[in-house]
Amino acid sequence: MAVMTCSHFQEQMLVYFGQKQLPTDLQEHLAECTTCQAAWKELSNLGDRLGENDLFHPNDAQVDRLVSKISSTIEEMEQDKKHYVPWVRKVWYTYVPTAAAAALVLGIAIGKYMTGGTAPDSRVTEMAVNKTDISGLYEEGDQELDEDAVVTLIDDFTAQHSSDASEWLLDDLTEEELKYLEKSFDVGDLL
Amino acid sequence: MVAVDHEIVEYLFRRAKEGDKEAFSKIVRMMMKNVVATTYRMTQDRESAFDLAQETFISAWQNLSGFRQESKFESWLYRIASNKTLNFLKRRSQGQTSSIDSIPLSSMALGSSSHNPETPMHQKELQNVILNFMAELPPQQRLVFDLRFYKERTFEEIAQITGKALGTVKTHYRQAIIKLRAFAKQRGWR
Repeated sequence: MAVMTCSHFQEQMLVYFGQKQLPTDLQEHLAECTTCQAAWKELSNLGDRLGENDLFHPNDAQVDRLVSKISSTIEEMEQDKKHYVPWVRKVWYTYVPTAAAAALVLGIAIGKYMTGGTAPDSRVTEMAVNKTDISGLYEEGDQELDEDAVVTLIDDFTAQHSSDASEWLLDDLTEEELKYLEKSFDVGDLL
Repeated sequence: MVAVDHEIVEYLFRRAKEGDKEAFSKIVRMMMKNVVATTYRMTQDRESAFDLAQETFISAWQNLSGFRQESKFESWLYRIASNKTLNFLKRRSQGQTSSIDSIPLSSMALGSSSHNPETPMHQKELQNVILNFMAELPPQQRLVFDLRFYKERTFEEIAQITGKALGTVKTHYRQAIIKLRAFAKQRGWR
């Protein structure tokens, strides 16, 4: 084993400066070597001079202020987080359904057009999208409903929302509208 | 250094991680003095030290859920404080923040009398001496010295906090002590 010299121990002292617990070999050497004892004493005195850590502590009132500032900032951040809707969710719940509905309506219109039918009345389209009843179609002054539009509306709702939807739709029709449908279309036992 | 019960801190940390703001607030209160002492000695500016301590705790709250407990919570907190302070010093040296380097340290320390008006004169002088000494050290050495000497952290912990190799940390500390000796010699300390 290599013999440790004073310079080795004095190097070691630099690393252990300020520590209460020294390695055993350094302790043993210090017990015997007066030169190293003096060096360690000098270092310890420096440590004592710089050791007053409390000088840099804020006082209690400053701590109170800082703690309360931090707490209120955190509180605000938490509130913001509650109100914040992530963009993914915003897109998923707002834009995607709107785009899907618009695509559906456009598809129906194009389909109808391609098969020789008439494109549905824009009012029907709007109502199909908004899932409203067709009573709004019957505006004052209208003599009769647009037949194609009514067919499109019923087909569309039936296809999309099962037969319950058409029943729901028919429930909302006025007696006058029902009579009109019965007279104008082959409605079978739908009514 | 204010003695902190590490077990209590770890317990409060676990509660805070589950969203308990009250527990986090207790951690802030327990750790504030030690964090400010470090940021103050590092920046040598009281107001910046307070700002950095605040930023440290807020950042810790924001990132609590991501902390995987590979190290102690306190070490992690000092890591955040260290990174923020080193970044601040870097910006300040580049002139991006108001530099206090040009202000004589003695005037800063006198300014800090409002920090604690009861502080006796010899303590203010000592505060000056420490700030003067810290100013002699480059930021990384300053941080290692602070964590080792004032925070009594092991070299392994300091390596974790600073993200430096163990050998590098020991070298920084050794160099800091060599400078301290030279500093003391200049001032005729014995």
